[in-house]
Amino acid sequence: MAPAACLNFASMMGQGSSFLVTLSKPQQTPSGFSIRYNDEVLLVTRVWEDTPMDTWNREHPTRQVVYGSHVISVNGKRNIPEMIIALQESCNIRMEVARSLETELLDEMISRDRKMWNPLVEEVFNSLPERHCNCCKNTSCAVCLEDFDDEMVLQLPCKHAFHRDCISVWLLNRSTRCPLCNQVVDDSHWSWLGQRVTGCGSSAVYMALSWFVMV
Amino acid sequence: MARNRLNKEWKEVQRNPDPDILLELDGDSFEQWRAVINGPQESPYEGGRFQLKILCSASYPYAAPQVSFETKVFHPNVNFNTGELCVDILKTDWSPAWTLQYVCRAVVSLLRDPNADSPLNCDAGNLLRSGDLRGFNSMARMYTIEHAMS
Ligand SMILES: [Zn+2]
Ligand SMILES: [Zn+2]
Ligand SMILES: [Zn+2]
Repeated sequence: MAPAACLNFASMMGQGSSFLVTLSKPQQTPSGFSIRYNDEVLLVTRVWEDTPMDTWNREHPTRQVVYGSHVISVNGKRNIPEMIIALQESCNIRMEVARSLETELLDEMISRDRKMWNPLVEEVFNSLPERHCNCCKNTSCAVCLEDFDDEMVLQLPCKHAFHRDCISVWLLNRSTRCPLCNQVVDDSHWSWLGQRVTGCGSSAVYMALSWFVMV
Repeated sequence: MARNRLNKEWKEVQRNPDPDILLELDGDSFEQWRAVINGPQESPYEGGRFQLKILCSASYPYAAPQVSFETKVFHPNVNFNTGELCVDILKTDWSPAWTLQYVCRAVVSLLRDPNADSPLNCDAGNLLRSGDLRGFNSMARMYTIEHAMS
């Protein structure tokens, strides 16, 4: 019942496969959404609360911009670098947004980028100190759930400790964050990469295959 | 790793059961689990009992478990047909420090606080986004009575 109603709703609303979003805002005020992009596609990852974009979504329930929304053009421009500049600098934004969501593509871009960080993280990983478990914040390993037993453990900068083997699988393959407090284990690499690649102090952070920025 | 860790979780669940969550092994491998969660009070799901299917791969706990509703539920973040659910901690925000019991608690919170921003059920999402809380509650209630209270 629910999905059928949804289809009818979509066909009622949809002439064509995209819709128009217009935002007017004062100079220097962000529109309030984050995007991820590569050479071919510009996708929305998040809309921030109490921003012009958030207000637009509230006022236009049938033309909302959400995770996975595909921005096709900005102020008539279809080339990605020009679209970014328009999003960052213009006070009057006219965006053409595709009606279908590219959530799978976006998930894939994010996970592909995660994999690309690994070699860098390995260097950082090898520099993490081993400590006696008595000196650490926690008394058991949150990955295998075993209590520490008078042994040497690997300590992260946030002082949370884990068995070396347990945490290595996580940090080298999945994430750069502490499983317990979510702190990034080493963010110097982030800023370093951001500078090296964008080279202009912009807030874009290089992500191996795609970039993200808030506009 | 997955097996030892799940064995530990299994013992812990038996030692400290959560009154709102029944979590059990489904079959004799540690791969498949079944949970029954109570719909949160003061929500349209109150009084309902919702069954979840939980699958843990060999990469657990580094990879999040796959969780889906077996009971039909009308909720913006649950696919009405497949029971698939959309919650950050099972996707981008997963941490290996979380357990299956924690995941079940997160699903209970999701029932209590639906997030209309990432809808898997557009009808439920649209009702909430347009501010039609009454409409949403009555639909959710209707499905709870029909599917989760028998
Ligand atoms: Zn461990
Ligand atoms: Zn930590
Ligand atoms: Zn739908």
